[in-house]
Amino acid sequence: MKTIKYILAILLMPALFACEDFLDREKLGEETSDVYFNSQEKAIHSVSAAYSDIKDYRFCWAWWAFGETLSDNAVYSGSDGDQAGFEPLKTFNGTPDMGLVTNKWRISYRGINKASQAIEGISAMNDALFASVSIKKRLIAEARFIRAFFHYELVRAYGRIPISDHFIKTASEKIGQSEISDVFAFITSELELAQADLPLKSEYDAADLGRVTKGAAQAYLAKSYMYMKEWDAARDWAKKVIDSKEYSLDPSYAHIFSFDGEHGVESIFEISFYNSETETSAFSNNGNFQTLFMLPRNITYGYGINQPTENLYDAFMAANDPVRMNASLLTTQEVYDIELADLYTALSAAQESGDAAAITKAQTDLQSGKDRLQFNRTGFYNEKMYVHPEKRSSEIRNNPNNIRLMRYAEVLLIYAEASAQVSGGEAEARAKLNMVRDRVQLPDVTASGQALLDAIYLERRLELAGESDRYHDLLRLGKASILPKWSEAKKYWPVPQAEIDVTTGEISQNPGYVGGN
Amino acid sequence: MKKYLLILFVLCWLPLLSQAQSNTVTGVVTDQDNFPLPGVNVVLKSNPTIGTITDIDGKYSINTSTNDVLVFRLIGMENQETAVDGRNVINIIMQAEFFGLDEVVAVGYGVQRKSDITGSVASVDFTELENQPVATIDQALQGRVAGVQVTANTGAPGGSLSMRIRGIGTINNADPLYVVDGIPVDDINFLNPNDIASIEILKDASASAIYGSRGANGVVLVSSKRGTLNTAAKVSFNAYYATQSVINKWETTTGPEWYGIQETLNQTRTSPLDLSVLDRNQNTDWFDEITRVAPMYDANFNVSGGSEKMTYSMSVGAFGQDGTIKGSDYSRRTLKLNSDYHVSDKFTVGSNINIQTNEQHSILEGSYHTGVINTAIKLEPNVPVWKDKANHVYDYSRFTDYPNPVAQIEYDNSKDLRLNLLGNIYAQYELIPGLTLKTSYSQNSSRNDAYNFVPAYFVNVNQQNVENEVSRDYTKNDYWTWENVLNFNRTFASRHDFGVMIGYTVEEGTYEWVNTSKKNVPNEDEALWYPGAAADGDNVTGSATEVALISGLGRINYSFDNKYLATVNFRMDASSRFPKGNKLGSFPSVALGWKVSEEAFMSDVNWLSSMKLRVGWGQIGNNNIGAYPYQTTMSGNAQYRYLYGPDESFDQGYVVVNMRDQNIKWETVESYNVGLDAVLFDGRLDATLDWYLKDTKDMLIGVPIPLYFGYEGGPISNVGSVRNKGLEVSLNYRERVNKDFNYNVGFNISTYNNEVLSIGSGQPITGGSYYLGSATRTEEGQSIGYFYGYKTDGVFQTQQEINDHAIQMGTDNTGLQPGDLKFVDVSGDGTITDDDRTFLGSPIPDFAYGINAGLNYKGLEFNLFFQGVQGNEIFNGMKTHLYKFDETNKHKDMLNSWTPQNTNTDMPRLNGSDANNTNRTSDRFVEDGSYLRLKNITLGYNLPRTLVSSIGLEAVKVYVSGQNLWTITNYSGADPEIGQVTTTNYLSRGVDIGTYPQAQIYTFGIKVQF
Repeated sequence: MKTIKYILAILLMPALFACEDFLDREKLGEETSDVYFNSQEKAIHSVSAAYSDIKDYRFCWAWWAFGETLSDNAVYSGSDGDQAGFEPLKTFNGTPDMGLVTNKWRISYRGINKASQAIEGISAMNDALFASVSIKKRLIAEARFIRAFFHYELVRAYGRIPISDHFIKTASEKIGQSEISDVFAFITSELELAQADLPLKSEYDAADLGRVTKGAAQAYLAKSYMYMKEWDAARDWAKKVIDSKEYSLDPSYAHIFSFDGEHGVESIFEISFYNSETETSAFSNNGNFQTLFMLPRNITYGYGINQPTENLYDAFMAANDPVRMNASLLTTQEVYDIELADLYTALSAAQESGDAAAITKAQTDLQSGKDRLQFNRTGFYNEKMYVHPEKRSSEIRNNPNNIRLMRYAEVLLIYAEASAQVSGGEAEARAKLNMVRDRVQLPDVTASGQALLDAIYLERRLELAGESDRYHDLLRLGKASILPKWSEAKKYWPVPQAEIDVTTGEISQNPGYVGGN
Repeated sequence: MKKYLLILFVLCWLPLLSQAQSNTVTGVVTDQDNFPLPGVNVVLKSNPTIGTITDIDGKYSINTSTNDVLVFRLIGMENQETAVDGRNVINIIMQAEFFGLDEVVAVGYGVQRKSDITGSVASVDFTELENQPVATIDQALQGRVAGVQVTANTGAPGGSLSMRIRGIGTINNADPLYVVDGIPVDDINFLNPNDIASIEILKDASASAIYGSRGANGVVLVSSKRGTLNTAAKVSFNAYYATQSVINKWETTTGPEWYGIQETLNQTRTSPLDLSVLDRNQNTDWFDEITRVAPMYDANFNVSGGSEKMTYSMSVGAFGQDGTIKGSDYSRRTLKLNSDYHVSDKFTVGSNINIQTNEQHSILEGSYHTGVINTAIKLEPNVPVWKDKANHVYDYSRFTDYPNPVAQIEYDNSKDLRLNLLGNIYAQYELIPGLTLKTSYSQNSSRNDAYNFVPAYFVNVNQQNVENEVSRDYTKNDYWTWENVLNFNRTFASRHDFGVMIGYTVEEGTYEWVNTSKKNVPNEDEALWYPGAAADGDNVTGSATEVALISGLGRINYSFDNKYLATVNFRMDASSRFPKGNKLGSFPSVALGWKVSEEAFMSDVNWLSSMKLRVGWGQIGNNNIGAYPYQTTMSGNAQYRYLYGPDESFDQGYVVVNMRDQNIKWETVESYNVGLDAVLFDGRLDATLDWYLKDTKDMLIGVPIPLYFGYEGGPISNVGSVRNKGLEVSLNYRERVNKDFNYNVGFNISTYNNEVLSIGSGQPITGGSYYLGSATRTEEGQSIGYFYGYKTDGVFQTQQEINDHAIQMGTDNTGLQPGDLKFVDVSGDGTITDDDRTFLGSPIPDFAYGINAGLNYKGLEFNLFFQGVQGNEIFNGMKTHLYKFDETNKHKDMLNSWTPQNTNTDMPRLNGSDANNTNRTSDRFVEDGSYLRLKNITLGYNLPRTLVSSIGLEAVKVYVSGQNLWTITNYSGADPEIGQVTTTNYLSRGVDIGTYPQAQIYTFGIKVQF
């Protein structure tokens, strides 16, 4: 009967495993979303995720490709393949399947989704989980700003877009496109909510530098109303920024774009980048990929893309504006001087020694150094995104220079433009315009009427050159027709084909792109 | 707990006979030509664990009782039984058994006589395939079994194959379940083919339902070699050496040809290439630069035998293969021990132990941008490999950013070291005669170490690494299975045969990985290629997955009068992989058989030795769904970081990035099978016919969601269904002409028909991505992963043709010229748009077949084996480069481009500013992928027995063989055997983006038995 015992033992052994727990497994290494929002720390992490898409290289790429390269300020350049690849967009004949077109849409909505998750997740948290209710409100307001910011970026590039104002959880949900004015109405209402709860820049702890501030929300409100041509509101919000005394113009224009100038007195919203040893993939780094795009080709590891045009150079020259020109445009000779400094030193050493062979060699070396610079289509590079060799990251995608998205100078110019548009505001307009001009040692503008407005428009071009605002300005001012091959029908980018394909009628193609191929 | 588990079962082995007086029997076993047969198993019917084996002269001697029955067994011969009946000398003449109907084959948790099987089960005697120099078991199965399609994804040493049983049942993982000596495993690549005795493939649901939620894609049962009781040690040594070369090359232009084409293109380019930077007469054959003639070897040593209580089989093996592409190789060491110990008449314990290690170096494949083979095909021939070889400076493409493939190979130091441990122990006890309880515990563990070191190097701005980097990725996989099975077999009233099996199993697996990398090793000495030596950038990540499964299973076999057969299988699986409420799945099957030839009315039909009709139905599942795809989790990738503060330190963001469906369940396959097995002409011809219909329901598909939802991926939901149907025929004919000469011919063919019935939203799924888009599409009404794009219709010959054609450029075809490619207006709306994209072909063949033939004359053996597929297409992704009006290398076809003087051609005019989008995904790149290949040809010679025994050996065979010597195909690439781009890229089947071609192999081998 010993046998029976063994058999029973075997028969009963499964009871050990039959408890429900044995089959209840979870994905390891990741927390499930239903238990996530349970501390202030994790609320902060959730908001960081919402910020993270702003620095995504695909988002930033589209930011300048649309804002700067489409305009008369820049050509795409890079290799023949790079240049040819962008050509359809440059000639306003882009197709809905283009990577840039798809990526700007895709990444912006990812940022919106993350922001909505943060807003809803944090809102549902008990106040007691936070050090203070104001922190909870602030975090929600930060996420709300980010959600508005991505809508703002989308509406500027695509026109009619779907408004996503909540965390979408079921695959059957559908949202159609809204009119541009409705999108801006959503953006401004969100920003108004956000600015109420956001701290001033000075109210943040130092460790929070880089988070969105009340000033940032107000500045984007002003700019949004500028696009909507609601001048009173634009002026009022710009005035709130000015009156806050949180910002001032940096006395040195060039200093704004230096490493020392990061998050400086003039900075209202800025993307921070650093050089990380561990984050090297294009999709997971916090380095500035855009610098890689724009560094001169082959003489550095850069691609030589987004080269400023001679047209922009001429504009600086015509305005007699050397300060901003020198800070914005890096000339070919400057590239040689910086990148080939060793070879120049060698040449002067050889010349001092008087050794003819050494001089010849140094000259040959210098020439072959210069020959390395390729596909230099305009003779200029974007100096605001340029990083000197000694500061340059050895990891090509990891340059540490920040990108400035909103500066106090622009708020002044918005204020100036809005004032000039309302009756009796010209004196105020000139005052603010001339603050910006004084900083770069340019004489005051005394014009009025349309001449004053034109002066403000030109000031915007020169002040914001290389900062991806030019095409947006040309569009809103009705001046985009100066661009070759521009057409009203294709002034915005098409809706990505992938979006048209996957949706079931709620998303339609922008009218200029319907039909044909 | 209640529901999952159960037990009971009974196994009736042969009836115990009462003991009688002891007696020694001797004798000689010969064949019908009176030739002595060595190696015949002689066992007592009363106790098959007691036995012996005939010696070289066919002689045996065995202790038995006077009233026992002796059973004589030899592979290839019919079993014979003789009552001892008091005799002391029993000489036996064995008859050649043509197709082993009485052979016992594995059917999952038990065995069955082949003649009693009602499902569709293919059985492969692996020892017959052992002359082929194949690295892996699945390679050896290619073309051997109707309905089993084996395709190499790559020709790389140690590379993966995809095995598809009865078509492609799902857009997800359609790999079959592999079961090695009862242990479920994910793949069988690591096993040494020399250790395998036989393979059974359960093709239809009525056979595979016993594996329940894992049976949907078929089940491959692998049985390894075991020893025999009371047998002297049999020692054998097998070895071969082979040389391999690339099967074929791409037809790319020479340097001067390329240069000429570029000069022509320059005439129409808006910014012409500066060709002066290249030498017109430089001619680098990049493909030659990366290929080589490579050796391969295999050596195996095996000892097997048994005492009266114990059997054993042990082997060691070493295999090594260098790839025909430089930088790729694979080597493997295997150790195997199988043993069984008969503690008593009723109680047996035993174990199987496999230990295997391998080392693999790979080249980059599967990348349509920088894959090594891909770049070697498309790089311009006018660039030399070296700029300055003496100083080790590589040259590079002047106009593209594609890397120099020779440099790529040099700077790739990745290697994989893998350890596989597979083993089980079992105990089996006969409770009462016929009722056996077996419990078995198995462990399957693997460890994979991936090493890499990327030195700092500079080829050019596009191919460089500024700081050296060392990385180490470690994965570990542990899976245990505990099975308990009761088996009962009994015959009632001499006409009712019952076999009942009941069991339960518990399984649990854990998988864990850690990836690490660091930078800046102070010097690049190989001794420092470890993370500890590197200075900067600790980068570590890792995670784990657990799965658990509890199952109850059962089978009833019933046979009435040995004429009417019925089999019922049932399995319930409860799996951790599914959400609460959907964890449990039931998988039933029923099959019926009718041995027509046993009927009285058939007794006069002499040409028919046996015939059996089978019908079967079953439902099975597919649980290959990845790790917990229904759980909404917070991701914390480095991508979701953001920087704050004056020091710019990051805060790690956490967020949901994939939408989830919380209600997913099993994919279910429902299949029907009708089959016929027949043996004709005194056993000379063996035929099997099967027709099947297999519907996959609730197929899990990633539901496409709008980009504006803001997720990185959509939910996976049970929304699809797929139908596969086909006909399978296999015929084998053997003729023994005389004592010195026999031959055999075999043929198998299977047809395939695959149709997607539903994919839920109706939104087509794209796949097979290459640099210009997607080559495949999966949608309702078509086969899985068919090729989709524009149709072309040659080139415009005249302006009139352009004017008459549908609008394919601008608003009125202005800009088109004679010589431009003509796209077909499929939709008929007068304009060429996306709507005109259509079906261009399918990677799934209409039919696949294998033909083998062998003959033996005295000591000589000759074997031929052909394998082929017909009616499938290949998307030639490389031609999208080679036909493009760009700087990459060009196809020789481009030399025949249209010109006003050369109009009789389909190749469009060379156009450097192509606004016609000539290279869009079209039928220009879809080619007939059919092929017939002489897979193996072998000539072997068995040294005369007298000679062999004079030097103290039992048998010696030498052979030469050739693999892949001859292929008929219309495909223009290097090799028409195109699997998937990568192992898990299921919708990239048949897409060639520079597939590692198969090798032509010449082998010399020897087999020695001591």
